[in-house]
Amino acid sequence: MDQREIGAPGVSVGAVDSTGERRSGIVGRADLWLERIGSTILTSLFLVMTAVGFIQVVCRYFLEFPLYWSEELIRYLFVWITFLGAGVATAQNLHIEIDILSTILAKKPPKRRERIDRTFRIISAFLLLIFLGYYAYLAGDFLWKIHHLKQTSTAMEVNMLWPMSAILVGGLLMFFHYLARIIRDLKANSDVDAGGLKERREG
Amino acid sequence: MSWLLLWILLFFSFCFLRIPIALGMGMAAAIVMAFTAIPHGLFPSVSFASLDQFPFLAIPFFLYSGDLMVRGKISEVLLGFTESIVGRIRGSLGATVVIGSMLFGTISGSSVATVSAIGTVAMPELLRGGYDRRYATALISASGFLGILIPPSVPGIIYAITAGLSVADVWISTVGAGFLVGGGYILLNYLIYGRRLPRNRVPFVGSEYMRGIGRKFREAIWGILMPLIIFGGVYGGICTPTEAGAVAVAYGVVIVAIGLRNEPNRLKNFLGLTRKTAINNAAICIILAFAMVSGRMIVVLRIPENLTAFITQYTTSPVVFLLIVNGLLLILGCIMETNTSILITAPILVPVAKSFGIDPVHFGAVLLLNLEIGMITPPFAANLFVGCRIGNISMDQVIRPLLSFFVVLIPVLMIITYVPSISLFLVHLLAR
Repeated sequence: MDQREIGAPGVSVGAVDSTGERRSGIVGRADLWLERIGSTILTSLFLVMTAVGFIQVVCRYFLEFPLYWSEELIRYLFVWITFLGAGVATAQNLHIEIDILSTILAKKPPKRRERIDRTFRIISAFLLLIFLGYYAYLAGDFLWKIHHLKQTSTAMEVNMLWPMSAILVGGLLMFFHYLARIIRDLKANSDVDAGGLKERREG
Repeated sequence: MSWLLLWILLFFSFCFLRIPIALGMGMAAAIVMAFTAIPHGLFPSVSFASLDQFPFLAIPFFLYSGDLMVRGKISEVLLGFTESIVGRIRGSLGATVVIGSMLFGTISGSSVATVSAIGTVAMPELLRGGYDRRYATALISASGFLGILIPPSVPGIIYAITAGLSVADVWISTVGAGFLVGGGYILLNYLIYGRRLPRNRVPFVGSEYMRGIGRKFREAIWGILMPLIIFGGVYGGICTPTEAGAVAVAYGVVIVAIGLRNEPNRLKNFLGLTRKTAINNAAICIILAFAMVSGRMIVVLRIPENLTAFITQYTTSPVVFLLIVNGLLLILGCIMETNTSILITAPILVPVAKSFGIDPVHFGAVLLLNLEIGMITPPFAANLFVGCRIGNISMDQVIRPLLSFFVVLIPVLMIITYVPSISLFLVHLLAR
């Protein structure tokens, strides 16, 4: 079920350019910084979730002392982990994709291929920015309504804003990481153009 | 109907642009919803509610336990254990790969991880045993998905929840298919290879044989115990699949802690592994969130009802319907990744299947077997790709020996499709 770790064709694993000069500039640095914080929080929440899951089983079956709050806590952590992780996956280019394009392009010369590849990446990132911006707006709108309802969860009696804000945070994180990527790609494109011009002038 | 086609068209064009599957689904749904005046306010509420379900938590738990067990380097001992049982049969190396893959896949829950772990250990052995490199690669790749058909498995969880069924039922329904395919492979391997090999002349000594099994079993017990705990827990009615997953994780942590006790940087390695699993889990589960939004759209637009009406114009026979579905799924399985295929097809096809009088659990077994076959059908066959890298040959060389495995797969698929009791008898026996 998990084809991605190996990088099979049809399921792409993007090159992870997580550090280095490609992340220069304010946006680039913020991109890297958000990715690091995101993945640290993600790992800790994941460990907490599995630990609570195990404690729940131990309490229910071995100590015969069922916890009333554990199931709800795990569910909310799961939502947070999914949306935070979606942000980190965006930064590291680890989302599951269908990579038909590079199979088609495989026979083209590498320079041309890279060019087409980058153009497609810019187009898709642009579409994604529109969608994710809209999604974040919808999420914000939804949270505003929830805020006015003053709803609390059934078991732990926390404000529902806590678990539900995951969707807004996730949407914004993905939005920002795509923004950083589009800036990086546009810059790389113009660098290539400038390089091309220089070559032509010299040749 | 036309909205369904528009949605599929949009989704595939977004996929072609290499937009992540999850977001592509969301975008396609957003556009169709704009045309059909379904309020977009559904987006945040449904994507939250769809993840806020306890059964889904089995996904991160089993992903994690699988990753931990793979790290514990169990492939060698599992193969050794299998070999001690079937070693005397002619062509036993092939049979060992099949059964070993089944065991390993059950524990790791990943068919690609199975191909790479079993393949790395077994490939040199197979070549030394005189097996053809192309055939060996095909065998290892084709055996990779067997473990997915035996619980626990993530695709099973995803199908169960999208179709509104119990996870335990769906898990057990594919066991019959798994054993049929595995048995078929072993038979096939015997017919192709084993038959030609010389008989083992060493006289059979029962006590020696049993002692050998016992010795290998002691080495492999820590690996084999895990699926047994899960089996016992879930089908003994002790705990839910999600809770069994949490226990499996704790078990995996202990195994890794013992396995890594002499290595430097173990905490760092452990955290790195956890982070990888967490991102991996998010990449799968974010698809769920947006697929559920699409699913809601499909329900509101009454697409299953319309599709049923459309199909019944041409045929009212469930036999023909299942044949069409099989064809469709085989094609989809070639292009799409398993979990995504389930999320696209289940909300649309399960209601139609029900109206044809097909048990949704049985339908799930057909669907899952079919999509797993897609893991070894080119052009986009993850198993095959990894297998070829281990076998160090190109994909087109494997196609011919791989075809012989379809001699097993297609008949088994037909049997599973048209003999529901193979999928359902264990369900009736154990889960209800």
